[in-house]
Amino acid sequence: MANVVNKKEEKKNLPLKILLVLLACFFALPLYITIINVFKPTKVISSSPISLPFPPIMDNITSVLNDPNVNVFEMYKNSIMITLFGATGCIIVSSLAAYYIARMKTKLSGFLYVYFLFGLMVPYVIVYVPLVTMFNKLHLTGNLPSLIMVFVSGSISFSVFMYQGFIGGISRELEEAAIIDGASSLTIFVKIIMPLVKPCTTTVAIFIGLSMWNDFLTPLLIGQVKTITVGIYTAIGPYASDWGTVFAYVLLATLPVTIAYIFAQKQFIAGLTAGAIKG
Amino acid sequence: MRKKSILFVLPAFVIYTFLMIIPIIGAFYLSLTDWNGISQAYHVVGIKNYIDMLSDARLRNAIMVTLKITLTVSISVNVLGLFVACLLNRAGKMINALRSIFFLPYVISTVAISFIWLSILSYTGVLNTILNALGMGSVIADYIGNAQNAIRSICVIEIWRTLGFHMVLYLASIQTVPEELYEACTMDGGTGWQKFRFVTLPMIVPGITISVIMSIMTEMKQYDVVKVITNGGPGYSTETVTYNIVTQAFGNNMLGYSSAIAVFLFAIIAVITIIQLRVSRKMEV
Amino acid sequence: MKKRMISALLASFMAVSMLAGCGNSAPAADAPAAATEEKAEAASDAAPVADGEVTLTWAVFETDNYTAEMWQTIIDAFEADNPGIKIEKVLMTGDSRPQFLKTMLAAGNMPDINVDPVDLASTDGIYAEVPEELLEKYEDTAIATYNGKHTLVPAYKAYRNQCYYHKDQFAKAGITSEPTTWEEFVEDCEKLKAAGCIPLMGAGASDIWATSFGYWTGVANSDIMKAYPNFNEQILNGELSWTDPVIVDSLTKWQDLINAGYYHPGSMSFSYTQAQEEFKNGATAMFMDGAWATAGYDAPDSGFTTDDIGVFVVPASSGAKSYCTMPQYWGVAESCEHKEEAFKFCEYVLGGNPEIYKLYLKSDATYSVTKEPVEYEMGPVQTEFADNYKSIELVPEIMKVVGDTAMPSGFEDFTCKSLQNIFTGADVTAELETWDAEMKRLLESAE
Repeated sequence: MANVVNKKEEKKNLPLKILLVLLACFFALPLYITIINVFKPTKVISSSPISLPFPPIMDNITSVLNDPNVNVFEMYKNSIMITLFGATGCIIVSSLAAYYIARMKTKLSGFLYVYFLFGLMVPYVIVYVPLVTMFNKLHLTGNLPSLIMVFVSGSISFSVFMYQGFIGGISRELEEAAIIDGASSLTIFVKIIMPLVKPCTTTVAIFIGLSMWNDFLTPLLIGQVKTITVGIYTAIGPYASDWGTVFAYVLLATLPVTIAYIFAQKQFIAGLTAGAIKG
Repeated sequence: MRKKSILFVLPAFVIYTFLMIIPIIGAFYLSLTDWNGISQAYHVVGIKNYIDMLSDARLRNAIMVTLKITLTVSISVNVLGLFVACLLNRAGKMINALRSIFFLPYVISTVAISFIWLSILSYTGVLNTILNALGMGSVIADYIGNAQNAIRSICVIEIWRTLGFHMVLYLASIQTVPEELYEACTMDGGTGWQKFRFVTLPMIVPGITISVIMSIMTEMKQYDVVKVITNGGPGYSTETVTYNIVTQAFGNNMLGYSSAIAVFLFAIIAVITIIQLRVSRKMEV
Repeated sequence: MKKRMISALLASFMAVSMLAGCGNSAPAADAPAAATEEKAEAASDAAPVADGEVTLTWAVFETDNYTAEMWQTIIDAFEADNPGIKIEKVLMTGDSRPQFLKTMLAAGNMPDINVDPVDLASTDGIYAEVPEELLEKYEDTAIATYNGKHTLVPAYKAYRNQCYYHKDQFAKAGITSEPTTWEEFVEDCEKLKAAGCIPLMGAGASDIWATSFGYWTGVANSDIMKAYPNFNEQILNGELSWTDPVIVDSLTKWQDLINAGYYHPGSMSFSYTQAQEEFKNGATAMFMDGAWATAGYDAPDSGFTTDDIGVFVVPASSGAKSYCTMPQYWGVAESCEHKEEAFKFCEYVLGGNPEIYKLYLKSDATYSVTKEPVEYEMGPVQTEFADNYKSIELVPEIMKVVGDTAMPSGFEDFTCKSLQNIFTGADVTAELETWDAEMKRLLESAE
């Protein structure tokens, strides 16, 4: 490992460390600005934007939570529903499909692999117009289940690709033993394969879950469903000059993800980079 | 070996076909029509939309803006990302904490990030207030309402947002370089720079390729930051291809034409993806 | 066996995604299956009639002026006077109101009554034809015609914008009276600048409409309408070009103001609300703002009186004595199952109950379009605003004309963007050439 260095070198690295810490502070400045200013009245924000909030006030947050036209909990509910059911649904259908594709060496499975992979090349914006048109014709616009299915469909390519690679790398011995014991394919899949591909599931769940939570254009165009991102975008509009309110919205939108990130940094970083490289 | 039931594939196949493949085919078809999205009637006009694209100055501008953003951001995040990764690699115990800080913006929604930056870059925002307080009133500028500055602001936000991600990619790459190679270089009397130039750099070429392609792909599809910060303005100075497609389709009711632009973007992205898949497969040796 | 397990799995997944919905009873896993159920649901949604009671949905939007309390007062009054009819408020939210309505239309949930229906009105079959006896109550000039049909109920007319100014800054610059000619206006700008004030506030950023709001709607519109009273008709049938000298000249004068440094340097980075806030804080001496802003200055807690704030009509360089108005409408959806009650509601609010009509008009400082004018007590700033229009001819706003001579969909946004280009220094004639091309393109695609 290259980061194992001896003590002598450790000392030499002190200026470097200081530089890095300064860099990190500078980098974190926008986030610092957000957090401190949530607790300051707008007048103070405009006059001294980087001072600490003394005394801290909760007015910005309470005014956002009490706004009769903005239901933050509704937005959370929508986003959580989409992320939870979208990611779970996508993982179930994709891992099943990937299991078949990885284990069957037929022409059909080869075709299916390429068929599913095709979605990775598509800039999603191409799908919006036909999808909105189709949904309008079928009166499917504007409800949560439709949107969840759209999110599932958008992540299938990536998930199938990830699971196919992972399952392909698992030895078949366990499965064969189970077959001799008379287990069905589905039992094998649930009892043997899924526990073995847990690392892959973590990666996929973080990657697609986060992209669903943060997506802006899809819920905006497909039915204007108020997720937390679309919600804050539309809610901030009339308050664009009231920075205290803006920061409160930003904080509410980012808090859940940030907390999750703090508790599972390693998984987040590994999941997102592995997902990006391979997908 | 028992046969797996094709039913395993069915749910994914049905969802994917209905909501992904059919719409894509639909887009190809729509791109050959003049449909406006509201009326019942439309005509198949062949490749007229594609011909119109050639003379569309607004689209040409959107392509130029997208390329400018892509080029600036890709070069910056890769150079800076590699640089910070090299520093971080030697930071010992602090490596994890620092890595987490740099990576955090990549986790947060782009819309939220854009609002944070809007508060900083707005004319009466944080940056100008600080400059004023420091007595540097003369360098105050309009970072959003001025065409050149607006596009720079978009780039800065994107660099800030994605730098941590690229840094982590590079860090992972660098950590795969065997220590013996550095030792050999030291014994040959190599300096720090030479170690980087002749050991690190050649060893992380696949990592560089991936990172560069990733940044290109992300910026080619740029929409969210532009939507929040400038709405494509002032004028068209920050209008990207994706922004153009969305406004043509849902603002101007030109669904046929916007589909043609989307197909064009698709062709470009597809080529880049194929290159990416080739390279990433090689990486998995 | 296997088959059963798979379908059980699939079914449970569907059930899960169903739970996420708002009582939608259809599995959404594949589109066509869900479609039929959805339709059934939409139908049952549209007519929740119980015990002869009718419920109408009413799409409105909320601003600082149009508050939730105001809409509720209207609803309560109507329901009290019309037992058996219930009004349910639907708030239009999202990126834009037309976009919201298009989505609702597509989803089969079109609200029965819409305020601000103009963008959708040019498409046949979205709004129901208005009964003649209702239309008779309104001024002839306010009635909109699409392909020979009257599908909109006139709601009010809005005077567009005038120039608000801080009296103390005018005094500081030694300006004693409001400008009455273009030359005086420019001189006043120069005086303000010399006195260390920033003369004008502009807006841009993500609120593209706000860039046109001010000079384009206030001054250029008057110049154009003075030269060509039938401008919309002539420009649409190709008799006129956007590069007409009148337009080029008017916009060049605007660009001269910008080049002379009379506008706040941050103008293009301000959203509309930011710009207004900055002006109220005294960042600039003048701001060309809408009639609705008077409501904000006249509010008891605004901190402003006519000693602080004055308002005048910006004198056009052509000497045009005209000023633009924009009519606004309501529409009853063709899909509404109780049109009679819906029109009854329109009639009640829009003139039938003068007190309610007054409340609606006063909230956003708009004016009645009923043949018998309905007037309300105006605050001092609004009185000044209204008095300024006496002896001035009122003309329509080019981009907001409704009916057969309306500009094509998307064109106004295009021109606002172009005005931003002009604001940031683009060549006026070259920009206007793009207006011709874009209008032609949009008209072709709308056919």
